[in-house]
Amino acid sequence: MTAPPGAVAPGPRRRAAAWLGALDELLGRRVVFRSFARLRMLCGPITLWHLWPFLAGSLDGRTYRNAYWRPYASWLPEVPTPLYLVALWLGAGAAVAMTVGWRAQAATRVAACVVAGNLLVSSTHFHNNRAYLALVLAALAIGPCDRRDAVGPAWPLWLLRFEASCVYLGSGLSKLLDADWFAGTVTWQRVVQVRGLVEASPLPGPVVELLVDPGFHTVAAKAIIATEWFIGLGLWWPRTRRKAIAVAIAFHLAIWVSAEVQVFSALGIAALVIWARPQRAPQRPGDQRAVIGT
Amino acid sequence: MDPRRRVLARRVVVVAVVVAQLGFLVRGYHSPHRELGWQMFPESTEWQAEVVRVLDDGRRVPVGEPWPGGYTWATLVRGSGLSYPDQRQHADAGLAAVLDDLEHALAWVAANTPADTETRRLDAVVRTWRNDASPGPEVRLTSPERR
Repeated sequence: MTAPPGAVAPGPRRRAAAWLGALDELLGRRVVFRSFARLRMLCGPITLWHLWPFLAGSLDGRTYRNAYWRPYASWLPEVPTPLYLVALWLGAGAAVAMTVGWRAQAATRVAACVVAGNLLVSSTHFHNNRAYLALVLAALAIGPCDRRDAVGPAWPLWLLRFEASCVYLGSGLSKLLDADWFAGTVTWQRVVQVRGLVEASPLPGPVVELLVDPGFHTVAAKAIIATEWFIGLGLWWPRTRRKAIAVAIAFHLAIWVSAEVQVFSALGIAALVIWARPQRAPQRPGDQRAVIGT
Repeated sequence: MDPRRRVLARRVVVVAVVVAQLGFLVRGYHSPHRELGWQMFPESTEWQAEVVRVLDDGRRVPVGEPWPGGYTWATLVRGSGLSYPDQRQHADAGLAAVLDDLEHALAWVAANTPADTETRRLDAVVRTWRNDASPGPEVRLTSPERR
């Protein structure tokens, strides 16, 4: 295509302004946060499940400070034990309120603070699934999640989609770059290490034989990496989204039955609701018309 | 808030989160605990450690044996994945994370067992096995001297 006679090619500043305008439109586009309301309801029980070991410990008079713990930074203030215990139980109450929808936005903010705080008081509390839960709750706390018809600018949804995508892509990239992972050595050795459990499981003999065969893992490792990449990228495009969601559900269920990952699989499946196409809300006067699909 | 400031604030928050997350992804390749690096099931490495109390007279007493003050290693490090170091076990979050935690746990235990008046420091000799189960380097860790 050629430019019309007399047309001036846009300069870098004009192009940058156009990009910024498009970005602002994307972030500020007003949408209905139905998926956040659904995710909030699902995250209530997941938050309670996550907090339960800490709550059970507190009933026995134990907190993280009764055993080895470590602050992330020496300058972080120590949380007094009574305050920590009150916060834990407040978080549990907030998780119940999130589920039933009572003062849902405030409850979600309390739950987000408690889960994040509990993660930050000691580095021994860190697990990927807990960090992901904290991020999901933070996004819900920012975006409107109290009503199915709540309307707001789309940026919290975009951020949560970005984080969700990073979970799969980060995992897939690290496996791709690790020679042992790519060759299948890691998965093969993990099965070998729990061979007794695999043989005692209800799996048929030929399946057990296949699982302990290193040749199978040279293929399976690449399939796992491809699966993570497909989910992480496929969720972004409407044409591949449904398939990516189906693959993600199967992937999380497989992890759930084969590994101890605390709340990760339940959270991973629940968080897929954010990929439902959000309904456009009426734009405020002066807002640009949307040009980019979601 | 003024609409222009609102737009600017939104931009700053989103860009900050995206840049921070990308930074954490990169940091995950050289940080022992890989926080927000999203490296799931990173290794099949295994480890086993002999953890001992080094007494004033130089004797080395395994932490599984009776301890002045009634302490037990498993209780002192409960919840950290280090409770049974004498058993060969998978390094769930990677070997670097285990070694980092064990080193800090030795220091914490040394500093938080006031009824034990005979221990000068704690030592650990960690045997490791790589992803392919071949023996890895032996790692020696030690706590600070207690006095």
